[in-house]
Amino acid sequence: MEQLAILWDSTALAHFHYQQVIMMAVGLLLLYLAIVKKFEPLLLIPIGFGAILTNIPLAGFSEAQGLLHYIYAVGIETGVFPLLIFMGVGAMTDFGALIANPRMLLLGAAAQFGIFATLFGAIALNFVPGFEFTLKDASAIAIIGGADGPTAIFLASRLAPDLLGAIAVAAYSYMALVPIIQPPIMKALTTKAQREIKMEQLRHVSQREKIIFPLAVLMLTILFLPSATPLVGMFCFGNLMKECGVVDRLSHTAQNELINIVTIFLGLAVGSKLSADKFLTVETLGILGLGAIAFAIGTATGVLMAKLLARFSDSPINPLIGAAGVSAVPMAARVVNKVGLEANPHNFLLMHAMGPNVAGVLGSAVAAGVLLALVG
Amino acid sequence: MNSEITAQLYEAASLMMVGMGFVFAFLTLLIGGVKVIEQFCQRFSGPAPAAAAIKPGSAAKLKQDTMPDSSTVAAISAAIHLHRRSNK
Repeated sequence: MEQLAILWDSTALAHFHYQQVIMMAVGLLLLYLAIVKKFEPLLLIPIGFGAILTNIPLAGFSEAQGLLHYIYAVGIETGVFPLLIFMGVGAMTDFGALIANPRMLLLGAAAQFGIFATLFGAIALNFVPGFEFTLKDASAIAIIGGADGPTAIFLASRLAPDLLGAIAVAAYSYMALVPIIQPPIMKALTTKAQREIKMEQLRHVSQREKIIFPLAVLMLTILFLPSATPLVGMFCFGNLMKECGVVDRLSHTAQNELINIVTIFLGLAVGSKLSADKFLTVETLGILGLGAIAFAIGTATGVLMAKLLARFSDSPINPLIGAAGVSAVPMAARVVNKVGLEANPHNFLLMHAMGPNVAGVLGSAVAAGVLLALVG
Repeated sequence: MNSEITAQLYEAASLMMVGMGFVFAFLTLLIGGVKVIEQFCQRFSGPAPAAAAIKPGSAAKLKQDTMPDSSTVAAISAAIHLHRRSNK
């Protein structure tokens, strides 16, 4: 009889806490969203599965000696994984559209207002009982508005590791929801005539310009914002490998095998942070709400900035492209293209939207650097 | 408690101003940087090292890939013709 009791005690059934069951359900929900709804499957599958693994009683995946604990300690606590991903993203990014029309950088800057407005909002939420966000927490939450997964994870691991799970899930969920969140805001802020505006064709950009560009960005970052150099440096390194044309093998690895391997581990490690005691809090609800607001504000300020720019510009500017300033490459640019095509079936804005889109990546990396320098 | 939050709010607001100001200043500086690069590349557009060598080559290759020459077209259409006849 005693042996039976011991046997029962070694099953998970005897140790399941209802919170762990809820978190496993959250993990399954993420798997469902990824497999059935095709929401960012590359990340939500490892994150969802990591969430299930970490909540298994007795297995201790996320305790000292546990697999996920080690992956987290090696890759995210150190900031290595998000930076490697950023290198891969750099190797996949073509700055041609931005170099051809550098004013688009202003749209990438304007869309970062979503980040700073949300920072304000997160602190304001402290008036509600149950919320106690410090300035560091608020900064890590606000970066969701940068719509850039690796940047959000990097900053959260530096400023608010406890909130990392919720922040990463919010960031990637909203990036998947860009086609739903953005169009209504874009349409509300523009008239049909404005959405129909055709833009001039972009000039040809020589390879030489593309090679010098990442070096120039790096140089400016070194001079003015060294705290952003981990992000910008890896990004520029990846981009230089792509553009210089003499290390195709390295560039290929950075944008394929390496980024895939790191994505698997990054996802699992983020999933391991979805444990019941950290995730099932009222703060998570706040983070999810604030993330959506950050996205919406960023989109709106991007569009408004594009309208302002159009007023002072000789060449026509379609205000829709401002919405692509919230990075989320290339999803946001595709959304701009789609909304533009709805207004005018012969107007292809994709290339024009790629400019503000990659400017948004730089913008959010700079914003992250500012937050690290001032709050970290 | 409330005064503490108010102080934090004040700090967040100043962070917002400084942060946005810096992001704009930085990216505006970069606009200038890109313009300088453009000027530089126009002025010294001599025999660019890898640039000139690779670009036309790859473009030419692309052209060849997408537009096969007449003998290839003839061979392909003959093969299709044969295939259709044998499948009848």
